[in-house]
Amino acid sequence: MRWPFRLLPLSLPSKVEATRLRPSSFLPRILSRNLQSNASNTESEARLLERLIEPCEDRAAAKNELRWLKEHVQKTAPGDLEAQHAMLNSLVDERSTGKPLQYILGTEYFGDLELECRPGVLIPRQETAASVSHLVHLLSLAPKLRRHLRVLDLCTGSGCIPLLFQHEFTKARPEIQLRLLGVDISPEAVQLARDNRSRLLEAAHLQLPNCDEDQENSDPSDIEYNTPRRSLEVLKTTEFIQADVLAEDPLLQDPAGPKSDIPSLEAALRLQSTVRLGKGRHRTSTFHKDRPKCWPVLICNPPYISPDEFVRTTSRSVREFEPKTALIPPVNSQGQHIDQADTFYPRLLELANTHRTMVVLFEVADMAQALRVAQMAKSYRKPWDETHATNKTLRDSIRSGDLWDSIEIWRDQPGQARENGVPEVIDGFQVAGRGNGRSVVCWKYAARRWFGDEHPISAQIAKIKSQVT
Amino acid sequence: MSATPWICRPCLLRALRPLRRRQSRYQTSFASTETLSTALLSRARTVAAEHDQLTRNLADGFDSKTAKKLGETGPVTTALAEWDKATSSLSELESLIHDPTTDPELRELASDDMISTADELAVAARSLKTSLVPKHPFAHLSCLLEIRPGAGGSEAAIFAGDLLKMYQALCSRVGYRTSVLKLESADSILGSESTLAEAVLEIEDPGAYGLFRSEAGVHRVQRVPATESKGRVHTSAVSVLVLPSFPSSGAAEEMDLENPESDYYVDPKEVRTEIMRARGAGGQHVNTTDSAVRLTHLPTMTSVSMQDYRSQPKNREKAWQLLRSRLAQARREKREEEMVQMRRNVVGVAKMGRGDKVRTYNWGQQRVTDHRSGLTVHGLDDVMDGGMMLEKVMESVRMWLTERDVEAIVAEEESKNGN
Repeated sequence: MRWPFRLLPLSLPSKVEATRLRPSSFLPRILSRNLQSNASNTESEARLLERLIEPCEDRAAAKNELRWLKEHVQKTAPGDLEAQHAMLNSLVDERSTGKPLQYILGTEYFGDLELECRPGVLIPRQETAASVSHLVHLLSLAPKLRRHLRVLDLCTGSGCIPLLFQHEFTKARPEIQLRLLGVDISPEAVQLARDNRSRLLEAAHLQLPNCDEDQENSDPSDIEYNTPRRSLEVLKTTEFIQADVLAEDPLLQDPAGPKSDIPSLEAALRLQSTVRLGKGRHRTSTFHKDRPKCWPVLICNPPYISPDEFVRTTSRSVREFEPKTALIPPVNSQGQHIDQADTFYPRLLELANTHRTMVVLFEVADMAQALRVAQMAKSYRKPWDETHATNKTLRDSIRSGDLWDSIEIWRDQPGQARENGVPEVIDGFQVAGRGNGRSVVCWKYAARRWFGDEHPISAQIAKIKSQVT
Repeated sequence: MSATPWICRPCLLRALRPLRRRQSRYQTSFASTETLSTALLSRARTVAAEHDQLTRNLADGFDSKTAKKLGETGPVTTALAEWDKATSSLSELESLIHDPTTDPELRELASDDMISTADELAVAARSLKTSLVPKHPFAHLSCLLEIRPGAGGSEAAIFAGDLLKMYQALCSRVGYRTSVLKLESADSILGSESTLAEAVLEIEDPGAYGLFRSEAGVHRVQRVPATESKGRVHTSAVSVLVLPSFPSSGAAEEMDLENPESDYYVDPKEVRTEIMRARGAGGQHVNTTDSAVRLTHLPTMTSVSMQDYRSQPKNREKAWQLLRSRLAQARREKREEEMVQMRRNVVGVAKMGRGDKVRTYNWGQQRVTDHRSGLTVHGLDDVMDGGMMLEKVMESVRMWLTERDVEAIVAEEESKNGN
């Protein structure tokens, strides 16, 4: 369906008319020269801007976008003014159809990183970057992290989350070895994520030009790690694979059930570890030496928009240009009592349990969904668990890691304190930051040990922060 | 037939008319440089004594702080030694001349020598004065140049654009690295850089602040604007703000970014960060390109917004840089204001605030006049193209600023002696 509200071409505002005056002959030389060269440019630019206002929805944003488009054009065709002009025109045409600027320019900033993006893969969002950065910040404060930290990112899309995680975590804690794995169902996404990885890898190589093979092959414990070296190493072991997160593990699955071409997550993980181990040149990597089923950090930004909301609340450039699979989850097969928007979360909690995850970060659409997901996490039990009768068994159960020890909801800017400084609690869940409800973060009891002692996570983090400042 | 060509009478008269009238436009002139007040001299003696003390201290053991101080006091001490030498030889010559027993031939020689020695004395006095003026604490920094149109509507906006181009041209000619941190064109004409609502130009070379700080103030333009259809001359104004630019963290040690006592320190807790994001659901629902960041320093309500870069962290970093600069400048100005208040009671040092106009660009007469140094140059085109003429004007203002500083020192010294 075409967008019904195509604006008529607007006539230029009168202010513009007033400034389009002919240079008078009595004006001094410099002034008239400037005016002549600017007059025609000004007019055409005002027209370009008018066309950008509709997709951008406001004038200031349109101005910025026009400038970025101009910069892009100047970079791609330096010197050739004719070509620049024509190119700018066609790009503005494209943008005025509602195509996201990120697809037109081919990149988007995610935190500090400039990542590629392509039609067919979701554009990274700034809110996601804020949540991931905050999680990384908290983890980097933990004094007793193990030497290895394995991070699994599901529905990774452009690969933005693992790549940003690596970038920021290595900056803060170069001594810790990260293992990152991104999983997505779409082959385009996996390809793009791999391309983004190579892009960063190249940059890392440039940062560390004299890193030769001898040093790499020497015993890793001998090397004094700094950020560029660690970055390079982590990026080299970072992988992106294709798998269906929602599909049941084929070993548990009914053999008569429907089969898909895309492997399930469990199958993909098993396959990947055996293949990699089978090849001799990968043997030096310690990537799969430690338990391959253990992923202490699990992050996921799953599709979370219900079909109804998709029609009502998404913006046009999202609806018409971004991939639906990345936005709307499939219909839930397990039970009718779960909202279609929430399809992924029960499965993610289950995966967290089977992969012995210590901390999960799930992005959600809003506070209502955040509360639903937090509730799911709170009541999550292993399927074979009996109901816990007493407080003691509940405590034991938390300690043994069957249950989530602490469940938090983060808003868009989780690092920012509230205006009045009072901690916010909704339905018994701690809420941090400002903005819309954006993500749910759950910690296992075992994660307390990362921060030094047995106090609850939030108290420990507050203590560490006060010590830092 | 006459050999001289015919010249019209007005031209002839104009050629004969002396240039005296232009001289009378000067509002200030340099203070005479030959005399040296006792106050300055006593200041110099104190500094020299301190220098000797420091030298002795340094002989006992090296200390980088002492060495730095020694380097600062060194020029004063040498200048004072020169001056003392010149004074003593002058008095010697004088006594020689006044002595009636002196041989007439020798007296003649002495009076010849006297002239050159007096010159030497003047030079020594001048160098002593300049050496006494402390280097501006920010002079070694790079700087931010903020240009904003004042009174005069769109004409002021156009002239603001011209000024931006002028400074850019100057920097590219001299070889300074510049980058436009922020460029907001006036709403009416978009994208064209000829009208400005606000521009911030960063001049990245160290020492730029010392060179450009003379540019702060209101720049007045008198010309027939492009927007004027009847050919009347308008007077408009553009304000230029020059802020020292502080490195974000690199040279933190020197800048004392972490030290709450320092001008550069900004407590992050006192700064509210607003991310001016599209309203509504956010997340996957929208793919906005809005990366704007606004910082507000709550105690002073100083607010900085930045949206020029696509990357939000980059906008945040640049906004912090700008905020820090503005706050440090405000604090310093406040302190200076207090000092000026104090001095004004002693001597009437005219305060040069940013409210006063500092320079006039007159198109009709093709001239540029700086009201502080009183210098007028006639190559308006060269000035607007950032040429040598502009540098000449800026140099004259720097000289003037030095003179003001000397006056201030004298005032301070006199008030100290008075108490």
